[in-house]
This record gives sequence, structure tokens and C-alpha cells, in this order.
Amino acid sequence: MFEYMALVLFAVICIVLMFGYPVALSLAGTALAFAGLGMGLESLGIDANFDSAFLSALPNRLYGIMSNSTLLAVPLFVLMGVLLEKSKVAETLLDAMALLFGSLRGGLGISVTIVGMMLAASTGIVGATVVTMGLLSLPTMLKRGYSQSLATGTICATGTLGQIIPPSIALVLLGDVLSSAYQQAQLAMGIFSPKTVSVGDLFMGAIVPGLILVALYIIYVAVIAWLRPSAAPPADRQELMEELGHQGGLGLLLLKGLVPPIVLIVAVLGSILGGFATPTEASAVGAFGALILALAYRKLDFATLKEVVRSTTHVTTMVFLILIGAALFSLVFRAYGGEELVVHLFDNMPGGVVGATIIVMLVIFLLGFILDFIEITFVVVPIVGPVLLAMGLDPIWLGIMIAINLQTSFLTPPFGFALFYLRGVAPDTVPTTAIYRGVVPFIVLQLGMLVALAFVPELATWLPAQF
Amino acid sequence: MNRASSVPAPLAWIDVVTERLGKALAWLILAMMLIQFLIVVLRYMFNFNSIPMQESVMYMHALVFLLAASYTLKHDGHVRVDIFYRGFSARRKAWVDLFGTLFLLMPVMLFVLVSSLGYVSKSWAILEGSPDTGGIPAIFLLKTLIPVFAVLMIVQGIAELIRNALIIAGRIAPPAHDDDHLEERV
Amino acid sequence: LDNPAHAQDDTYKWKMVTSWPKNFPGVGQGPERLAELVDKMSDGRLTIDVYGAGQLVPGFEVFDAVSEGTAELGHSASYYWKGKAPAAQFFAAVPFGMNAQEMNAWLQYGGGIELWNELYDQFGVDVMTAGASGVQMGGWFNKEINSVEDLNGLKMRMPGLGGEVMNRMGAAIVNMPGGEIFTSLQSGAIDATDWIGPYNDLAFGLHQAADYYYYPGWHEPTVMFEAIVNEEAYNSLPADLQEILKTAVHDVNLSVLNEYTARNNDALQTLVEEHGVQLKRYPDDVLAEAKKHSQAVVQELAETNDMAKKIYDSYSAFQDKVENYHAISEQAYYNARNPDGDTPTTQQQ
Ligand code: NA
Ligand code: NA
Repeated sequence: MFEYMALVLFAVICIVLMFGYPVALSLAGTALAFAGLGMGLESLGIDANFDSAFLSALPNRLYGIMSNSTLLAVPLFVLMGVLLEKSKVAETLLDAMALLFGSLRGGLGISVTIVGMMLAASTGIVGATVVTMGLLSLPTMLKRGYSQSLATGTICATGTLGQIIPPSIALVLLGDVLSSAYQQAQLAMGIFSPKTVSVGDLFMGAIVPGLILVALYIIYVAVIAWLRPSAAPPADRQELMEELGHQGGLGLLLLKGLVPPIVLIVAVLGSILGGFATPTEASAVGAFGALILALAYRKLDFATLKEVVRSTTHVTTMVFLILIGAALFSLVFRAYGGEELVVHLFDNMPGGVVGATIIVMLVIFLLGFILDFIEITFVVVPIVGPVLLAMGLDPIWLGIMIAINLQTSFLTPPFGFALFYLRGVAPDTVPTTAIYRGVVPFIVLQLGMLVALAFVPELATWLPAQF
Repeated sequence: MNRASSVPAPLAWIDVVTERLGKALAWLILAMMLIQFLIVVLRYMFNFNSIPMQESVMYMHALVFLLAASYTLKHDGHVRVDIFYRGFSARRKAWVDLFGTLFLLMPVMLFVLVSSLGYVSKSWAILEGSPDTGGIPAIFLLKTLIPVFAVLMIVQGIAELIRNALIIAGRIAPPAHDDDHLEERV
Repeated sequence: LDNPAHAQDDTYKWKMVTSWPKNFPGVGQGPERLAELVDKMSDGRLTIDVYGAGQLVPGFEVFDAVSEGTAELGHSASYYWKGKAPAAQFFAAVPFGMNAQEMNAWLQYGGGIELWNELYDQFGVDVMTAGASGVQMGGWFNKEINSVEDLNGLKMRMPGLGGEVMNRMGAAIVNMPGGEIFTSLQSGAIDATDWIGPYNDLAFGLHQAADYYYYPGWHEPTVMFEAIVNEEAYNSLPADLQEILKTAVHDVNLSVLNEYTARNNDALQTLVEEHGVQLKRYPDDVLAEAKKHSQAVVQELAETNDMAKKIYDSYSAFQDKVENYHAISEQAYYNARNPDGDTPTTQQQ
């Protein structure tokens, strides 16, 4: 009767979360209570299917988070976001972009998506992008009369683009396990000089689907703006110009509003592409640039700077406490045999390549509700990868399918981390339900992208084949 | 902050300590950014790289996100799923926070504390150094941040217990949102 | 708490944590093979669940996890534990040190494994050798290295003693997480990185990020891999299972090296012929300079403490002798077999 404790744990956590105590501690506390139950039963001689050795891995996991230098990008990108927001550079940028789109409805939403795409290209850490986008653009979108759910949905979805638009940690991890799976599949078929699939192949393969996702988001915002103008009102040029305290022509405003922040984003992206900095370091370049801009706009006195570092500290600790809570949850989930449960899902995988692929994609999507992308990558891909690849699937195509599927897991409640992160920086006036409602259409778009990829694999495989 | 005068001394003390520590640690964010930026400049312009400098950013990062977690707790900055919570009365919120602190936060942090002691003391026993050649020889100090994080969370948890009990008893008013809380600012 | 490792009277269910991604080609096959062999040889009395890096604990936490008993077994490389015991590096890779054949000889018959166990004793961990990479490659470069001067200011990712040697030759040694190596090399944020050898490097795709592939890997004449066992867990095994475990590890020790030897030459062919990789030998003066600095770096390591000195003495004494013998056996034979020197047929020069 204890085989399904891992699932019961998940269900109980959902209930506990609803009481409203901080997410990180609800996750960890409920998991720990289950661990206590398991150890108690085992000590009474009852087989609770609980292996307490997993719990002792907690310090190793925590130190792993501390020493993971990729995660340094979180505080630095948050700092950049807070600086840009504080100095009103963000608002000016978005307003100027909205003006650029002129009378086009949804211009601001589209601007947010484009800025989000550029930010996503520079980091693969979802916590960093969602929080930064939330800080940068949510206040402006709300101020300009956007519906709360459209605004939050757009921000959450564009924030997760970092997973798929290279460089991306998710693709690197996936590349690791997938290339091993691919070699294994070929060795099993007696091919001893196996072809390979590399991180670089996955990066290439992700570009077209990533851009299509951006296009889908933009089309969605435009369609909503057209169908329900109240949800995404067009910018009133006159009003905006007055509010920005600008008398001169539109051209000058655009120059003033657009150039410096674009220079900044190009600096972040450019510092990566130009080989000045690694993706993690680019977050520091961005934050430094934001500091200079804020100073140049004369919006940064000592009192403001104090607020900036304190806000950044709050957001950073919020993100990391969730990672810590999730670490404990995942250990207890495994201690109750959660991993075997997942493995058994694939015991009776259909023999046909189409059926097997559909099952795998469905299971990964469903696991996205309970587990984060790293867990899924480590648990699922080594099991299903060699099987599917031995059936002749293209490894790049499979990798991109899995990557987009995993990206979706950030948006699916209850454990959609993007939802938590945005909730953490959204004003109190935005109800959590608005965020949940807001992401639903984007989840549908993601699934649509998967279907499109299924029917047109060239979307992923064409570009890598050109090199 | 004249709230302090109307609350019992232990609560006031803990709040003051957490507040000062958090505000001090916040400056490390700026230091992290400047040093990380300097690393990029030195490497690109002068082909110079320093492993201790690289590691120092990691140390500062861990210091901030572990030791300032209690500062964020004090400012109610840890995200909640507030679908129902937001509609609760102040007293009801205080009950949720009281129970949550007692049955979720406290056990978790006690567990983090207890389970990390062996791990950390083993590191102290050998004064564990950097796994990188020429790195900062103080991994044992870095690892020590884990139990210190737990202790600080427990201490602030005690403050939250007292605060919420007093709110439920009607002895103090629920805290107004303070100025440097993010939500107020956005 | 009762120990779940003793689920039933006489069967043992162990966990093995590793520093490699699950099923990683070469070294990652070692632990999988170990689990399979032990299961078969013990008729299911000892089963081992293998965890990839990060699956149960992060890759660099393997030693702590085994020491603490979180996992009974670990598969890793000892140079990762230099922060705990600097001398551990002697058992993984020493620049201009012994190759796999010589290391195996020193460890099994030259007193090496005893010293290694003595070093790990204070951590409650037993160690066995569990695989070797063979001589590695020098690394991937985006700049040609024609002289020692070309190393000046070269931005390179190279961990460990080799990195320190490069540092002394003027290179700027950079640390970065594995996930950023590819991007950084491609963008030019770094000019060079070491990795493993053709088999793993091809899979990682480094040829898509750099043009030149340098040899030989003087900084890693082999990496020896280790199987580490929690002492208490090991002592709790009946004698026959202990023997089965040791025998299986011994098999893995050889299989991993054989797999690398077999696959590396195929992969090298692919890299050069299909991907147009420029295979290059380090210039003589670079190798000579590297050797000079390596001796100093290793000497300094030996002076960190008494145990390091003891290990160094044993290591270097054995190397002197075996070098002597191998000069007239292995080396003389290689020279006789291939009088044109080390110019491989796949070289494009
Ligand atoms: Na990205
Ligand atoms: Na999810």
C-alpha cells in the first residue's frame, strides 16, 4: 500500500500550498513530515517503502546549490532588473517600443515578448528571466491597462524561453544525457563507430522552434488585443509623450527611450556572442550597464541604491529558498520510490515508434506538474532515450521535443516554478488566480508547437544539417 | 520603526539583529556584481584571471542567499500561493503563519541544522580547502553557512511565532507593509 | 533506524553515486558494468543502483556521500578531492607522470593502493582502482601554439595540476561550469580547454567550437578512476560478496581502459576525416617547458604534508624504475614499430 506514497506526498503538498504559507517551506515541511512518517513506520517494523538514506543527501544537495556557479546569474540579473525598473529606464524602453508599434494594438505586450526573448537568449536560468521580466515589465503593463492575466501570462511564458533559446542549461544537460543515450542505442545496434549528437547540435536545432514560439506568443497577444481591446489597450501617443515629459518629436523620444536600453541588451547578448564574457558573467555586464544607465539618467541616489540592493536580496533569497525546499522534496519523493514509479510507467511502452513517442511525451508533460526539469532529464531521458533512438528517431528532433516539453513544465501549476517566481515579484493587487489563468493559453501554444514539430521535424533538424 | 517599543523585548531584539544583518549582507550584491564585472574586464583586456577572485563571487553569493533568507522572512518576502490567503482576515493569516512556522519552518530548519552538522564538522576536521588549484582555502567556512542559515531561520522563526501569537491575542496590530518590501515598491 | 541496505536476510541493495552523467561513454559505462557483474556473480544477493551525477548527489559530492554512508559505493576520480587531501591527486593524474599501464603496476604491486587506502582511511572510505582513460589529448585550441610565447595570456580552462603548469607558462587559467565550456569556447570567451580524449570529445561536440586539437595530454598521461566504498558497509558484507565486489571492480578497471583504447582511435578518425579537425602536436619547446614546470609543481605538492611526501616518494621511485624498463621495452618497441616518430597517418599537415 506504500508504493504510491510518492504520489500521495504530491497531493498533500498541493493541499498544504493552498493554505498560503510560503511555498518553499510548505514543500520542504510537508516532505519532511512524510519522511518522519516513513521512518516512524519503518522503525515499527512496517515496510513503508521508505529508504531514509536519501534524506542524508540533503547537505550534499544544498552545497551543490551553493557551489553551482551558473546560479550566480540569478542575483545579478535580478539586480539588473531592479536597477532598470528603479531608474525608470525599463518603463521608458517599453513605452518607446509601444510607441514604435504605433497604433498597433498589443504593442506593449509584443515589446515585452521581444525584450524577454533577448533576455532569454542571454541566460538559461528561468528564475532569473521570469523575475527580471516581472520587475521590468509587469508594472508598466498594468499601468497601461493590460489585463492582469494577459500581462502575467506573457511574462511567465517569455521568461521560460531561456530554457529553449541557446545558450541554455537545459539543452546542455539534455545534450549530456542524450548523447550518451544515442551512443548506447547505436552500440546496442552493433554500430561501433557511432554518430554523435552534441550540445552544439541541440543549440542549432533549438533556434527555429524557439523563434517560432516567440512568433506564436506575439500572434497570441496581437489576436487578444484585436478581439478584446480592453485586455491590451493600444498606446495613446499623446498621453504617453506627456507622461514621459517629452515635448519634441517622436523621433527624439524614440532615440531617448530606445537607444540606451537596446545598447544594454546588446551589451549583455553581445558580450556573450562576442566572446567577452560567459553567459553567467554576462549577467554582471548587464547589471553594471544598468548601474551606469541609472546614474546617467540621474535616477540613482544613495537611498535608491540601498533600496535596490535590498530588493535584490529579497528576490534572490526567495528564489533560492524555493530551490532548497525543492531539493528536500525531491529526496523524499525518491526515498518513497518515486523514481521507480516513473520508471515503471515505461515498462509497457508500445512497440511502434509513434505510440512510444506519444507515451513518452505525455508522461514527460504530466511529470512536469510534479517534478522540475533537471529531475525529469536525469530520470526519464536515460531510460527512454536509448529505446526511442534505437527505433530510429532523430536525436536532435527528440532533444528539442523534450526541451519544449520541459519548458512547459515551468508553466504548469502547481509546481510551475515560473508561476512562483512571478508571484514573488508581482504586486499584491494581482491575484494568484490571474497568473494561473494567464499561463493557460501559453501552455496550449507550447503543446501546439510540439504537435507542429511532430509533423514537421525539419523545424528542428533543418538548421543543424546546414553545418 | 516605533513598533519595537510596543512588542516584547525578545521579538524586538531578534527583529533588530535580523534587520541589521540583512541590510549589511545586501551590499554584497553590489560587490558581487562589481567583482564579476572586473573579472570580465581583466580577462578580456589584460588576459588576466584569478581563481580566488572567481571563487569570492561564489562565497558572496552563498552568504547572501543563505544568511539573508531570514531577513526576507521578516519582510514576508518568501512567495506564497495566496489564492485563499489573500482573502483571509489578519487574525486568520496570523494563524496560518503560526502553524506554518511551527510545523513547517521549524522542523525543516532543525532538520537542515542536525543533518548538516556531521557534514560540516568533517570539513572542519580537515580544514577543507578549495578543489581548484590556487583557490580560496576555506571550503569548511563556506559549508558552515548551511547550519548558520538554519539557525538564523530558527531564530527569526521564534520571532514570527511570538509576533503571530500576539496578533492572534490582539496585543499588537498586524505589521503594515514596510517600505523596502518589493510589493510596496512595484 | 534500521538499515534499509539489509532489506532481507541475506540480500544487499546498494547505491552507487558517480561523478559522470548516466551512461556517459567510457567512464560512465564502468559503474553500469560493475552493477551488472555483481548482480550476476552474486546471483542477485548484492544489487547496485547506479546514480549519475546530480541524480542523487552532485558529481563533486560523491566522496562525501560515500564517506557519510548516504551511498555505499562511488565511482569518481581522486583529483576532485584535493581540497580534502592534496595528495589524492597522485592517484588520478600527474603531469609527465605514469601512464595507465604503469599506474596499474604501481597501484597493484608497487604499494600504491595501500598508500591510497591509508590516505582515505580517516574518511571511513576504502578505495579500489576502477578504470583508466589512457593518455588523454592536450585539448582544444582556437589559436595555434607554435612556441611557449603563444601561451602568454592564452585564456584556457584546465583544472588541476596541469592548469597550474599552464598558469606558470603564462596562460590565464579560467574556471567554469561544464555547461558553459562549449559556449565559451565557441564565442571566444576562452581560447582553449582540455577535455578527455577523442571518444568523449566527439560526443561533446568540441570540434564545433574549436579548430585545433593538440596532443599529447602531458598533463594527464592517464586519469585513474576510483571505486570508493563506505568502510562500514563493506565490512557488513559476507566474505564472498566482498570478494565478488573486488573481482568485479578489477574487471571494470580493465574494461574501461579497453573501451577507451578501442573507441578513441575510431573517434579520432571521425574527427579528422569527417569534421576536418586540425590535429597538432605541441611544439618541443612547449613540452620541455611544461615538463620543467610540472616537476616544480609536483615537487611542491609533495611538500604540502608528510603523507604527500610519502606518496610522492613511492610514486616517483616507481616511475624512475619503470621508466628505465619501459625505455627499453615499450618505448623501444614503439620506436621500432613506427620509426617515423609520432606522426599519425591521420595528421593533416
Ligand atoms: Na538561453
Ligand atoms: Na510544473
